Amino acid sequence: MFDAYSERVHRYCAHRVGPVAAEDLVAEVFLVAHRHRDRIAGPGEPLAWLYGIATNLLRRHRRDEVRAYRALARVGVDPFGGATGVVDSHDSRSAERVDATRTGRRLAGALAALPRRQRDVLLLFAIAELSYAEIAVALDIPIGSVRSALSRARASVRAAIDLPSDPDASTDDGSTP
Amino acid sequence: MNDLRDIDEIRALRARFDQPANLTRARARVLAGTGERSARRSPVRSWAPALAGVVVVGLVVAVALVARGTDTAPLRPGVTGTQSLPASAEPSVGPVDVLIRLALTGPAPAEVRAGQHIRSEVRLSDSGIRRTETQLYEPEGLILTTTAAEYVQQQRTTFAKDGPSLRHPTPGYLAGLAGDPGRLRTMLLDAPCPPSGCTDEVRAWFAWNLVSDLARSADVITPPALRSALLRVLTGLPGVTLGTETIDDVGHRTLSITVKGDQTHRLILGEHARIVGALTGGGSTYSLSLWTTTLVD
Repeated sequence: MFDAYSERVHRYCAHRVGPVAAEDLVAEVFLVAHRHRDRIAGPGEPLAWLYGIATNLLRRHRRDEVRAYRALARVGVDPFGGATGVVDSHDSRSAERVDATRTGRRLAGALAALPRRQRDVLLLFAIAELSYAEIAVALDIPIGSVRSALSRARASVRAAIDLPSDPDASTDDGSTP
Repeated sequence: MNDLRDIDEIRALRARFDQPANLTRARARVLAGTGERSARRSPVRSWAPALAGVVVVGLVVAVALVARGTDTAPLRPGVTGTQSLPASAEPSVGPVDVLIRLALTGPAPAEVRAGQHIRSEVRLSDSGIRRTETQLYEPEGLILTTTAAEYVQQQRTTFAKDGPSLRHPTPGYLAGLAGDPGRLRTMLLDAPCPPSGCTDEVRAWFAWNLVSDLARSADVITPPALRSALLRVLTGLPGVTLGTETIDDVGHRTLSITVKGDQTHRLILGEHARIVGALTGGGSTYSLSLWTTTLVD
């Protein structure tokens, strides 16, 4: 199981708390999974379950995560390493780079301001690339709650980075992204 | 929302963390924690390139940095302020055998009274973001009690079934180990290996973890002779070159294992060459932890 899923779980954790803490978290996720291996629900892939464990463990790092987003929003430097890194290095596209960095900073500010549940849902959707149903399994919440939390979180983020509200939002059926 | 530009921006924000990670440390922790003796895919296959050479580049770099008096020594971000290391009265740099002898002069293990627990305080700094974690252990079997009841029970079952071990020692067991370095060496080398076998580097790296776990959770009940023996065994493992290095201007030293292609792992030595912490990584991305163990009622 470690070989099959650790990379993906690490990527999700690294996006949230940086690669160093993420490696420890990955170990914890799989140790917890091993202890509770009898709880793997059904014959399907246990990925959603692993992400759920990771998200629970990430709660212990919530303050660090939020603090890092705030720092990134404030000064454009990520405490987990490097600058916002949205666009590549100093080249002729400096105007684009500045704009992208500003977007990254606004985005970080928006992520810091999100309620925990909304941030969990949004990052499971965006980084872990889980479907609504998988997020519901991971967080042990109804799929309707996933849908509404994601909708609210994305509305906040889109407003922060100057993207228009999506007119198709009302037709959202909660299907797999 | 069919327009996914916001999702794309979120993915891009920390896209630099998307590259495949080695996860050597996590894998070893999982293997050790689950008691697995094999994995579906040989860890050695993926570890081999990373562990092809265990080098002491960190030694050279750190000594050079200290010699230059720069502010970029890897520990410095965590050493200032509340993360200060205990001062050392010992010479700034010494050969390994000096450290082994020095460890013999450390404090004797505290006497455990009935009902007491070991309190392990771990001050962590992940790339400058700090937090403190506190754990409580029962001295008999080093049972971690500040965790899920189910896991506490699992530890007790293991301890009752297998008896004392380096993972679940008792004060008496630790005292006995000090006089049996051969057995200690065998135990430290008993890494969970895939069927294809372990490399020396994998075993040594596993031992590094075992020693650091013991120091973090049981130093207060560890006799100085055992601290010294652990250093002796650790520094004598095949396939590993361990070097001392000075990491700050008050003379703290580390024992380091630098794994090629992976992060640098260092044990931080305090007074009497006691292991008081660990440092992984360096530069702007590092994880520093400093440990203190005490007995509490």
